[in-house]
Amino acid sequence: MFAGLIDGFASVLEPLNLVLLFAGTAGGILVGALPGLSSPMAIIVLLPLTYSMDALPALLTMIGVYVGTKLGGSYPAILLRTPGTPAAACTALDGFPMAQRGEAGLALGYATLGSTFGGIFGWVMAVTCVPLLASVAVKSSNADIALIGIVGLTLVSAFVRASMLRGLIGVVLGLLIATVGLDPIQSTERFTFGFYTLMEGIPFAAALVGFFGIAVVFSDIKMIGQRSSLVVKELNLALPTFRDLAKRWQCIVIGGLYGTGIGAIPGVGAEASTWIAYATARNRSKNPEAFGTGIPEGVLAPEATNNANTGGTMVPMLTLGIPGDGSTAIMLGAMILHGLQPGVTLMQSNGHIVNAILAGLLVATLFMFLIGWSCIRYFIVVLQQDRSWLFPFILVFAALGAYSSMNSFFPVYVAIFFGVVGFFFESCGIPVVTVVLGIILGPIIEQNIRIALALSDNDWTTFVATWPRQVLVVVIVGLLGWEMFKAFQGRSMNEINTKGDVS
Amino acid sequence: MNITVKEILLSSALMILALAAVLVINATGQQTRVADTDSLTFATLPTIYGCLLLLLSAIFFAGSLRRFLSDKHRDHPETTEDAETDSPSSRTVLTRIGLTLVVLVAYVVLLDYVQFLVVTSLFLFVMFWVFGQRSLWKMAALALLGGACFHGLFIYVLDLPI
Repeated sequence: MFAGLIDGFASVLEPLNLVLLFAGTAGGILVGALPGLSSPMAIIVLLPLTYSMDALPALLTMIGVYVGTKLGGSYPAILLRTPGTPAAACTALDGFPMAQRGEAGLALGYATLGSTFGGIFGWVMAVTCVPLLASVAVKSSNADIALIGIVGLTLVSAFVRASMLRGLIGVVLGLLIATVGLDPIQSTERFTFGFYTLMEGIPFAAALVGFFGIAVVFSDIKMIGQRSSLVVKELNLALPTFRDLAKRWQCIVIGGLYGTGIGAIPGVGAEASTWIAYATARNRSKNPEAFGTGIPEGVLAPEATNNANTGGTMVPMLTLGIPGDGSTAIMLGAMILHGLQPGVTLMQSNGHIVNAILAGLLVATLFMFLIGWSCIRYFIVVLQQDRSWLFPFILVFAALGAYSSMNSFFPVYVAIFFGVVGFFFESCGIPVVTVVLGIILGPIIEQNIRIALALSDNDWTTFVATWPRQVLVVVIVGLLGWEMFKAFQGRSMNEINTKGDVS
Repeated sequence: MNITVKEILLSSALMILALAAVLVINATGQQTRVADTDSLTFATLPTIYGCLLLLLSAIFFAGSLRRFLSDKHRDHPETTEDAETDSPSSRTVLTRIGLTLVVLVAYVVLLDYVQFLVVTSLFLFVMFWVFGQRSLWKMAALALLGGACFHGLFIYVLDLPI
């Protein structure tokens, strides 16, 4: 394990990779600092620029962006009470009051250190869990892989921020979209309507560009023209003393554990984990009533969680080929576009890439600290700029990114179509990440189900033939049943309250 | 637009899509089999997904309709998720979204006929205007600069055949 990791560091420390990782991290902080822009959008805009690169430099750039946005989101949360990313919403609760008291630099210092230590914690967990899980996952058969994919989709539906019904609709739509093209076993055309361009299926990169690029611009158009009065004078980071930080070690540990643990669950994302960590830190504090008034613990816990999340999401992505959130979903797409096959065999077939990604995660975290510590005043300037100058550039990047995936205009129209679809879905509370996961996992699930049946002479009991498969089936059925029970119980309570019966 | 109305429209569209998917995949004439004597065919899973989507969309539709009718009976004021006191009006936002879509499609169509630098600079200029900027000199300068940068990056560096 360590030998592989050292090789990974050796790859990351090559000059080009180091420069790209640094640039990606700086870009990520910049994007994260702009409310309305997100890590998936930044990565999708980068995607066409990486087509001419090898897989590793491309992925390292994306990792840098991914890590950088986690810290960048805290800047407007602290200074404007408007989180730059959804996951930084919790930071505003205590960060903004600190800024109002004239402790903006200190709040930003705590955010930077919390992010750094949380990121390192998440990295340690990822480095420990990925090789272990990969060694188990590689022994999986086709039936196991199919069930793992279904579990991933069920988890996404159950834990996504919307209701499970909306999550399932997104997932099933994604699965249906993934069937467009040639059948993977019999090569029969499905939903092609005679168009040869559809024989390869819906262009995956175009769908990503549409959902995470164009749809987000549509959604954020309402933010154009919004400005807040913010810190005009120069702002410098004020790092807390080691003693002040050491006193608050529990917040970092709580954030690290929740960030990594919940980050490893597909679809949950960082938003939920930050709130849970914040609540836990508050409940364990000797002064819980102080939370929300502007105390460092209220900044440390969510920021540590946020960056620990990056390590957590790597675990299912690198071992099972199941993305933990939207950003890792795009990274999976990038892997496929660069000729890598994500999934249970990734560690075996491209172990050096996996180790380099893990090494890059740590280096990006360190870069994040250095850049945040020294360049924060420049990022603050970005907060003052109106999005009306920025969005047209993002749209051009999106259009050209979609074009460059197939060197034709067809994917661009696909991207625009999915941009409109994604906009409507998000406005109706259906997270597009569920659709994207359905598109990614659909072919994997179908192929493995059909191969598993062929190998077992069409015996469906093969899916419960071993105890791991039985556990997976129980998880799927249990999750679905539990969510239906909760929905039914919630509806019954509503009916009782409406009718005025009080027990 | 009221959010429940949006949900009703979306769920209706999804039901139509699901029904069309089930009918079209079967229109090929081949059998879909989920039997223990034959393997799954090319149409089995799409049919299952289509039926599932139809069922889920129908439940979504029913829930949205129920909420819409109960809101109507309680005389709830229409709530829109876009209502913010210090943001552009909903009409302005919708107009901008519509214009963005139209201009984006026009940009893609024109890329095939007009030189990349020209059409990209024009697109940027028009989009700045759509998004409310009115300083013509600044818009023109940024549009030309942006167009030149994109041209340099995508045509010269990345060698995009556009």
